[in-house]
Amino acid sequence: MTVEFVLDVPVQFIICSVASAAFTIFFNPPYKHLISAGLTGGFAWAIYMVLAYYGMDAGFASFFSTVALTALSRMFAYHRKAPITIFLIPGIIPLVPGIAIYKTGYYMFMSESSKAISYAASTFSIAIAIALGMALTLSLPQVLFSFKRKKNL
Amino acid sequence: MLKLQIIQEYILMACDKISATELSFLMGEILLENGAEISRIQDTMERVANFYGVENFNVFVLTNAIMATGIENGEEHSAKLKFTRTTSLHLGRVSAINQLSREICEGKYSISEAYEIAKKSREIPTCKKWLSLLAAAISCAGYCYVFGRQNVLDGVAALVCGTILQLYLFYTSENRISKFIVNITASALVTLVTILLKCVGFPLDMASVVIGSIYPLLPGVALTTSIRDFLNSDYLSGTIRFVDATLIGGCIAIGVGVTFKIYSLLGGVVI
Repeated sequence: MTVEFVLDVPVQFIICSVASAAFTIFFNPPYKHLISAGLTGGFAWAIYMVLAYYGMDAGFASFFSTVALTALSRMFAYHRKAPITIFLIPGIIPLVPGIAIYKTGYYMFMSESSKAISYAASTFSIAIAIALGMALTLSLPQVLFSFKRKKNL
Repeated sequence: MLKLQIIQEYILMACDKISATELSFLMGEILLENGAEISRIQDTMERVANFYGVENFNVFVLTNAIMATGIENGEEHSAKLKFTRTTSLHLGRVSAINQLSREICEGKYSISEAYEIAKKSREIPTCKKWLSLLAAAISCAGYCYVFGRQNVLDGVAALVCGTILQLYLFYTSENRISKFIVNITASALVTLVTILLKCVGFPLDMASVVIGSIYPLLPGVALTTSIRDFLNSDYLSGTIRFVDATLIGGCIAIGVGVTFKIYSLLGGVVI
């Protein structure tokens, strides 16, 4: 891990958190949950960045960051007594395959169909990876996410 | 004449009394209108009905309709059907109803009190226009910076694109234009603005700017809700939303692609 990368992760974490929090405003959330919602987004992206840095492909990286962010959302949902959707959506948005959709469209119309097909496949594989990651984490028992902080720590 | 009045008053009184089925139905309706997932709706409705002692309560929810029946005090309150259009997500209302159902189960409210609160939470306002403009600008700029090549100038361009996009979305939402057309034209508009900015002479990476600016259009919510419906075995609703997400994604790809194609046909150099 280079020094530049280590410095880059927190910067991107902060920017992505702010962007995600701003994005959540579209869905009219209760504003007291806005910060946690933003943090979920930043967290998801930071994990994705680190995984991608170590050469993991987009599908796997999306899968593992979805698992992490869903777990975080469940903890937030439990502790703040709010529907999990408030934290899940800003968390998922950075992982949604926007880049792959863009490249699919771009190459499709630039008559490079082999690249277009490969990006379309990558769009679907990322979508499915997100689905599986979320499915896995949401079906784990609640006990794992509802721990309380011990007082004498 | 007097008799008629008495009968009228009696009817009014009868109407005034709200059944638990009605309350649970209203709560379900609000949740559905504001984009909650199917299992949450079903769960909330069942909880409320059970708490107020409705027997044989059955509820069936689809992405755009609710059917519920139940027996209350020996009387059957039955089969309601309501068609709601696929609607936008309003987390504030969903969370208010969630809170209400929690409090109902703690025994805090009578049926009519709860009904009033549910009605009130339906009127929680959507966010102000200037606020959503600001939100669009900030989130586009942020996402552009993060997903692109980490360039501040790109971010500023995305901020401009995001604001224009949001203004366009305000315009379309007032004019009831088909969702597909909105997505195709909106992504084309974003691409067009990016190309213009580039032509004016800013050293932009067009890919980063466009990617950042199309984020408000992406079907992240539809995808998330669809997955969660699938997980709870609501395959029908899950499929409806998944098809929705795929079509929106396709529309965005077409909008961006066509604009770049025209630009390159006119002799512009893309990227």
